[in-house]
Amino acid sequence: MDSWWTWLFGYVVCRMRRGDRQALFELLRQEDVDVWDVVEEIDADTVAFCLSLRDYRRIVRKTKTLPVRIQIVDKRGLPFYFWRAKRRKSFWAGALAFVLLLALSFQFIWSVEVVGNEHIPADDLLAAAAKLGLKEGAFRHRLPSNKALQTEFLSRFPGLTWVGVEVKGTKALIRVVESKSPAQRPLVNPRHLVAAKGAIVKEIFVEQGTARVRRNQAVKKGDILIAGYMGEGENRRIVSAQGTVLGLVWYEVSATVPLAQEYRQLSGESFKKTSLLIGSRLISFDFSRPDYRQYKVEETVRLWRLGNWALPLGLHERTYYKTGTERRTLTRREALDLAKTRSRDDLMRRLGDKGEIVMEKVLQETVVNGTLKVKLYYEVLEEIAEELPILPEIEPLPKLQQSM
Amino acid sequence: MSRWSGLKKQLGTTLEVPLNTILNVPRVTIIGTYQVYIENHQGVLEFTSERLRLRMMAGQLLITGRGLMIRQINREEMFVEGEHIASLTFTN
Repeated sequence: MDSWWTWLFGYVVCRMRRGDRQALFELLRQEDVDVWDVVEEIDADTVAFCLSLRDYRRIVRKTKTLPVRIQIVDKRGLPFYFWRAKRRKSFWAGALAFVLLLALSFQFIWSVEVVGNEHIPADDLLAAAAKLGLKEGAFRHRLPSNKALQTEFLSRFPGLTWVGVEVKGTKALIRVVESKSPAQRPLVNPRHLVAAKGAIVKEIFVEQGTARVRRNQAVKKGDILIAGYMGEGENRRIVSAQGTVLGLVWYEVSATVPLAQEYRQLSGESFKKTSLLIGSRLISFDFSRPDYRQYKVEETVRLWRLGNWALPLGLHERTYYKTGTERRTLTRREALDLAKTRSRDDLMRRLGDKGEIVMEKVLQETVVNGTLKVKLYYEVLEEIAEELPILPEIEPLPKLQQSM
Repeated sequence: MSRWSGLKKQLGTTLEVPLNTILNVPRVTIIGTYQVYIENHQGVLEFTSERLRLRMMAGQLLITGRGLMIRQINREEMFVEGEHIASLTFTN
């Protein structure tokens, strides 16, 4: 009867050496005691038995008057554990000390964090907070008041609008709001604006500096368009030239287009193959392949869903489209159009899509061995200004002074 | 056995009622040669690993065997286990 119930309330294993067994059983019976595991031990004059702690306490006195001498062999169960544990004073002291230390450790700030800062470095804010006593290791009930913090921070960091502290457990969170200042303009150094390539100036708009060219004037690469000087003679000072200069630039592009063109076309036939998709693994049951010589494959994945959850299971579908090659011979005119479109795209790509094609002219056009060769002339209106820094030591070149 | 209990016994037999429910007699269940389960005993008179003598309402019950032990005992019932149970004898 070693059930948890008896274990919970505790029981004892007793032994009686010699003594009157009949008297023992009679006593147990009179007192209505539950006894279990009654065995005669090997030396034949001893009998061992178990009974609950409560019953033992009840009968132990009554055995004194009888020729029955009971001796406890073992004490089992929860109450005994407790009694044993009670005696271990240092253990309990340690447990108590642990709880106290843990509670104490929650009274300190373990980490300070700053959120909301964009321009002011977090380290600076943390340093300022530490000066006021808000730092790691600070006692959480002796933190600076929000008001003190606000005054200190706002006077120290002009970029701040608001500051607040929030203590979450052992973590202090400094929330700051920075004032929004207008974006600063990028710094510009003293410079001229010069021509990046040879062109004819079509438009010149000066924001700062002196225009050195007029409309419809031809310029070479490196010519100064807008000089970084203002004023004359004694009043002359160096500035950063700013402005826009649009110039007409010419380009020659050559292109070749074969008259016989090959096209790939879908024939309309298709073939579908479905596989099972588990995770990133593909399991095929169908090993057939289309017997197309040329084809295009399109893949689609459909995952099965369970409500809002996409399962790692699904179908992987491959569709093979049969393609065929078709030959077509272009007329000379079609070929020329194609060459023009290609060259235009090519040119625009080279210019980075800045600029505008103003004129296009075919310079030369020949058909050799079934291939059209063309040379095209383009005029493009584009920004031609390029900056050239003015170094203080260098005297302006004589050529610059002479022009205009 | 008194006259009254003799009557009760006869009544019980004719009515096919388990006799231990109307007569104050033990009910003994034996499982193989290993376990004996006794209800309505009146106390232990003798206990060794070879002999177990119990008092009954009328007379005694002697169980002999090898390695006898009382697994559990209370006022009404007891559960005896042994390596081998040799005999059960009722005496007056």
